[in-house]
Amino acid sequence: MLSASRLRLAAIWSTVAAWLVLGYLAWFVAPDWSNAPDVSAPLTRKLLFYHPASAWASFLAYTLVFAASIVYLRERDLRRDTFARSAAEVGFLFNTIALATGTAWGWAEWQRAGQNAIATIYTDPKVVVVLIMWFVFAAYLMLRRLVDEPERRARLAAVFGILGFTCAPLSFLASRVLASSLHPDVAGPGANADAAVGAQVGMIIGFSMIAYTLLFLALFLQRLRLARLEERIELLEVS
Amino acid sequence: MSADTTTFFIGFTIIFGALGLYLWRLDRAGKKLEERIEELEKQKK
Repeated sequence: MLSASRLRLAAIWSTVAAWLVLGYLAWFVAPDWSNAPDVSAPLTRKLLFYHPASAWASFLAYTLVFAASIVYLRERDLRRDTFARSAAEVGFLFNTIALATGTAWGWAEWQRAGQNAIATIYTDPKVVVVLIMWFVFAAYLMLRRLVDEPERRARLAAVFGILGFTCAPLSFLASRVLASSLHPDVAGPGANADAAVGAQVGMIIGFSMIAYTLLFLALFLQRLRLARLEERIELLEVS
Repeated sequence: MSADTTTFFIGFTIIFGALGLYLWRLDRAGKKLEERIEELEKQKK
């Protein structure tokens, strides 16, 4: 069986390899949209291979927070809380990247078209739900710093973690139920056939999800190691 | 510089900048914690 340090190392190296392949696919294999008549920001469109996958990685992280929070509330084992905290921190990073890259991309698309890009982006139901999720997890991370008593902190954080996670399925549903969403549904139930991106682009987007999953794993394992070190210090300080 | 080039640059700076910063923060925190453990273990002996 792999030891924790070997698993961490394997996650780091597979992430580096996957991201190099992703870079190659995005820049040398994916179509060059600079001559496409319907594409107004061909360079920024390359974010297609990075922006949805960062949202995916944040949802994956928050799913782990949700599961670990439920287990914590049932078992009251602080190790579950440590697990949830590590996943939440990394998930928050990906959530921030998804929002920021989406804003940059939306700015390129709609500012040029003479619209108020920020208003267009931040009235999209999917973006609103993801923004609410971002605020809930910002509060989650903040309250962890503000509450000193470990059991109380873990209990409060678990409630915030569960609440925050409910935004993930809502975000999935938002663009499928509400026609006003700017986000095309390219896969899964309720997918819009007009939004199809083609097999090659679809394959690269799929690969970007794998690359981001590996990156999430590498960062999460590293964060978990730090949490274990912090626990060791606490033990050494009280003993 | 066109709007497309600017947003492209901003978008990718956000991705790699945020990831780089976070990795640097993790590395720095890890080193500090290891030093602290060493210090506490020395005190115990």
